[in-house]
Amino acid sequence: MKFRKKLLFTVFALAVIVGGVLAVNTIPLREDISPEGYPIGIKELDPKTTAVEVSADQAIETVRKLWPAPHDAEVKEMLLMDDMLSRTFWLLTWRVDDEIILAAQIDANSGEVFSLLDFRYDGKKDNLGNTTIAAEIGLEMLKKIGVPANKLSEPTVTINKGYPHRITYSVLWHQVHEDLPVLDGYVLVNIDPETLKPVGFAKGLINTEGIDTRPDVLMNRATNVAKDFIEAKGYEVREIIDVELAIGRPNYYWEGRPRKLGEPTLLWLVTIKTDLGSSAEIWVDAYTGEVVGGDQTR
Amino acid sequence: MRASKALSVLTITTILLFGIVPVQADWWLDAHYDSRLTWADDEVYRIDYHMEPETYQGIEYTVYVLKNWYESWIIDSSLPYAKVWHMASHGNLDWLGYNYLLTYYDESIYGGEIPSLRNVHGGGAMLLGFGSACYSGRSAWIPYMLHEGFIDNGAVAYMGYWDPVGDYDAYRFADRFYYYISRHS
Repeated sequence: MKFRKKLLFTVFALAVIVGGVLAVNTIPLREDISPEGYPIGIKELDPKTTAVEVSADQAIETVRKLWPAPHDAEVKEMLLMDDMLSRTFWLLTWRVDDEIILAAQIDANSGEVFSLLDFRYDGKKDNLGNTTIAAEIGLEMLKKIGVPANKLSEPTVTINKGYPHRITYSVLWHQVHEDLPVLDGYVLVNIDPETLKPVGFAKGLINTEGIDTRPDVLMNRATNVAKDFIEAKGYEVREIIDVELAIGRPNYYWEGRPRKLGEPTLLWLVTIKTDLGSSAEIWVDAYTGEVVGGDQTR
Repeated sequence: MRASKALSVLTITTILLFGIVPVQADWWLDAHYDSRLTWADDEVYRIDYHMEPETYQGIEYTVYVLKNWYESWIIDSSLPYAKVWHMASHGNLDWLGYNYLLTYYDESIYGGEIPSLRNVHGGGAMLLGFGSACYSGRSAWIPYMLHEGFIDNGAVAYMGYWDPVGDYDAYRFADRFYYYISRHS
């Protein structure tokens, strides 16, 4: 009898163990990979140990000169680094009862305010109802922040209703250089349609000074370079969708891991449809014929 | 006999505890990626970097970086358990206008296939589903687009892209998004 009970307990215990092991093994394994090094991106810096040209107080003062910042609000500052753009900047937030009412980003070396958002508006009524007037109001703001309109394309205006009960008109300009598009170059101005006043802006202008818009590498050669390149990566070329000349900062996309962007240069953007069904963009340097970047649609 | 009984009880208790204790210990953040995309792996590592030190309701996140999972694994073993669910992959619209996410094996995940997200690992509903893929945030007149699949099944929030998105831009956005919602904000 004792032996039978012992046996029963042992068999039961074994069954639980085997059952447990089987249950664990039927669930897909969770692959928790530790990468060799984290890729670059945005990160916080210690202001005490990081040397910058513009202090937090100077950054606050710069914003105050440009925008009616509240004096009774608490100001919080963070020093951030955008590794990819090689930019160190201050993120300043003005808060009342811990709620952000104004936010601004200032380059910590040049002192340029490159984005500002003022949340002190209702946007409940649309007294604008007209995208042309919105563009004119945006143009006034361009002058205020010192952006010459001849560097930009014609604006497009969109009406955003993203915030609950808050309408914003957004006027967007793309940067151009001698009629060529400049990748990631833009200025955006947001307008409150109730008061017809700007409530924020963002700008990301690329330095295109001295860039010759005459390519040394012709379109056909650039297309062939891109085709050979993508085929060597194991993709099958189905169709050349587009070949366009532009100015941009090389992103070295096809080299596998995110890297710091290169200096602005003239690029052939070759868009290819591959066997994966998605399109791939290959950026060919229009002076050297080297592949210096690109992108893939998801 | 007593020793044997005690041993059996101890074994069973230990096994059960191994199963139960981690369930209450952390939130799961499942970060899926399709290795055909050049920067999708870096995107999920950035999420790991930003969110692993993060807590919600005093409970820490454990970030699982999940490479090339099958559709059935995602639906059965990831979506119902993740507090935050992220997928860096291809996405598309079908000829009817429905959007879907694609696995590495070109299997489609539609809004209508999303399981209940109301009782995830550790309790409570999924906080955020993020389809980091083309068209993943598109809405249409037809029911059961992806966002409805998530929200109707209990997720507090869902986020995706209306239009096609580049791998490069998606990486950059995800890096900033998780940075600003993490403890740094």
